[in-house]
Amino acid sequence: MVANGDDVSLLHPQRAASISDIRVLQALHAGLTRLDPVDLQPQPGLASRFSSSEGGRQWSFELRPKLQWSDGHPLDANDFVRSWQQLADPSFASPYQSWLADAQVQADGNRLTVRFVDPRPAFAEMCAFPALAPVPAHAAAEAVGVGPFRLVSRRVRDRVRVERNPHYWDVEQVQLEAIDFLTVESQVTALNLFLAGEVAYAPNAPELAIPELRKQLADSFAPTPQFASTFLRLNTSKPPFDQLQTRRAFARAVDQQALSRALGQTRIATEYFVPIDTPDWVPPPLPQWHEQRGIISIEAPPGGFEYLYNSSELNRSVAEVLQDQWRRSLGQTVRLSNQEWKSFLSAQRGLEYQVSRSSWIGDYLDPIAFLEIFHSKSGNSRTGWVDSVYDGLIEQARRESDPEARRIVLREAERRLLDQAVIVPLYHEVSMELVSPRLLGFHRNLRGYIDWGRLAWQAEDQL
Amino acid sequence: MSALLRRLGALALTLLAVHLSAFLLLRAARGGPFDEARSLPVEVEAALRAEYHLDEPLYSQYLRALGGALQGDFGPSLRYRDVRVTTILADALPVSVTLGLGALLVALLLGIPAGLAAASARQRPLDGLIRGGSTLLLSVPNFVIAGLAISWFSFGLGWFPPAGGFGWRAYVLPCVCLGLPTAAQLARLSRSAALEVLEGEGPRSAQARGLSASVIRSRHVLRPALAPLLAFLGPTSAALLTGSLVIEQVFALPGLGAHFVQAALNRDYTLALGITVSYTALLGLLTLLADWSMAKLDPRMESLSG
Repeated sequence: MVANGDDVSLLHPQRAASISDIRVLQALHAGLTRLDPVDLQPQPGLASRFSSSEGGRQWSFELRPKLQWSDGHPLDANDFVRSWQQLADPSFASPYQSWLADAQVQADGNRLTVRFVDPRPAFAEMCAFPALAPVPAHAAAEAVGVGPFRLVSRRVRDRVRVERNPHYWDVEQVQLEAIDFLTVESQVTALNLFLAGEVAYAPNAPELAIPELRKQLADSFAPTPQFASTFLRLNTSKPPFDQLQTRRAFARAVDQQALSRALGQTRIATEYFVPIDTPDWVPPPLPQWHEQRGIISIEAPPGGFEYLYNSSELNRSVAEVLQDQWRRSLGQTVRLSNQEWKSFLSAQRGLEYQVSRSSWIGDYLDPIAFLEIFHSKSGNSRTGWVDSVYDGLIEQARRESDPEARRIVLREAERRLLDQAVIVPLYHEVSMELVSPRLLGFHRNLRGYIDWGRLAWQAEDQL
Repeated sequence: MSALLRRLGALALTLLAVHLSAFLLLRAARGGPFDEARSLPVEVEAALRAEYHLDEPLYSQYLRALGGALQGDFGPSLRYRDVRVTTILADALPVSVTLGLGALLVALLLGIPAGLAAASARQRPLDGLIRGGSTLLLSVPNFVIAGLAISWFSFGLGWFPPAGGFGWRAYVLPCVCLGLPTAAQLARLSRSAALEVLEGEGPRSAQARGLSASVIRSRHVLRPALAPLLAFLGPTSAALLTGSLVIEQVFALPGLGAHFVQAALNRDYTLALGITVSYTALLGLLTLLADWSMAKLDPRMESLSG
């Protein structure tokens, strides 16, 4: 039994997007590849072999023979073609539609070939994500999949129960017979259940308990860097942050290390947007103006400065620390304003803010998963920033097939983003998972990826 | 009979008004059901809005919602898109009702005897103890009570699980924690109701007629004192039976309570509307039931039964 945080909202792999949905979908569905739970390198999954050519523009997969859905129906390469065409169709309304928008998919016997206009270096990794798992035509995707487990029952706000899927290609390896994913929204409750031995896993420990957990529960609690960043967005479309000098002054006044200390050293302070733990990544040098000293005088707009955040204890603490830092180094009082989540999102999207707290989680281990959100055409920029230099760099990186050349372009893009002070990085997120030492084969990793099919439960007498 | 019909008619009108105002309030809130941290591509969001008729003019969305509600169908939830609102309500209601009945039982079994005991021990230490205890229970928020209960009875004594709906033992702590504040209210109400009766004419004349103490207590004190309690119990039962956000969250019980808040926060228009209307109906019916029982007890009240 595991605690799964927020309740599962959607069980369709092509439509679900929340972390708690995906945790369950990783048990019910499987892709052409699966990831090594330690370093997240793609390994063969439903495909026994895969390779790329033309600098990552073409990918071929060879399916394992005699694959079956969890209800015993046969599955072949055409099921992938149909599933992926459905995903790419805007009227199907998948949040991952853009992943395959420019893909041409072909099946030839057991071979599957995908062609992209631009290189997709991370495609093998993306194939392990539930969105790219095949979905059945003869049954509902909520009920039938190809994963290590199959659905037994689901009750909204209660639990999703799954059992071992006898038709899974790697069923001999699957050791857990069944898993109950419980909805436990309160982190304190999840911790109580964990301490009482009722659940073997909980996704988040409560903020207040972290120091004690570190001391007393080191075998179950080991904070691990995540592929996620928390930062401030500055609204460049109107005063006061349409002025580069004002943006830089605000960015320079933020002391990430002091913020991290104030938060009890639970997060990784950073001056970068792309997580510093990204494999094969070297961050660019910081802009020169970071080093300048002395007080810059900036003028407050008529209504004063305002900082917008979505209501939460942690966000309020962050806001208060930043408010203090800006008051000390700029002599400016920044008003704090909080809104509940949906109103906050609506204000951010509508550019009705000056500076706002933000975070981003990368879907795959590639710096572009972070950097492309500030392309002026991206719906996720929400800063009003239009910069032809930056857009050009992102487009160049998308077309570039040489990994080293691509890295250089992306590094330049991050340098540009930081130099223009469109955002102010604060910290990289850390996973606060509670994992029972009896859950064997569990590895904490950057993406919070869990392959439930490769975990085992150690009986009490073997401890 | 006609009085009962009149009340039912008024309830139906109330439900219509609640349905309309809840519909409008939900649409007035900023943001929509499909807004997430990650923006959807424009055409994808348009397709989703069309699928759930959110692209239609407001009045036709209202008529659609009203038509569905009249047939007892609130449509699919916008957050749990593959589940219907009625299924969610049907799944969650038994949990909340179990919890609510348990809490009501705790409240009645503790509250009324405590109140009567306090009344008969007026101005003596027992009275002070009960009054002090009930003030304390009313002023301490129930997540604090729940926290203390978990640390004593789950981790200290190990009698009950700290959370989760596994079997009857899991319901003991939540029922007690939810019932205690109501028990405190009942104790205060029944104490003052009993005092009012005790100081009135009834018991004294009964005493003069030579009736035994136990007959006086049950017929001349308890019965008249019940009227204000019943008036209080109608809406209170409705509140208890439809769940408690805090208690359900602390004990991870899949009841209705969390839906009240979460459905509105998620802009799950259909679920929020369904739950508001169902709650209003339940509240109306239970209040009606309480009024009817009061009329039975005290013929001077407007007769609902006859």
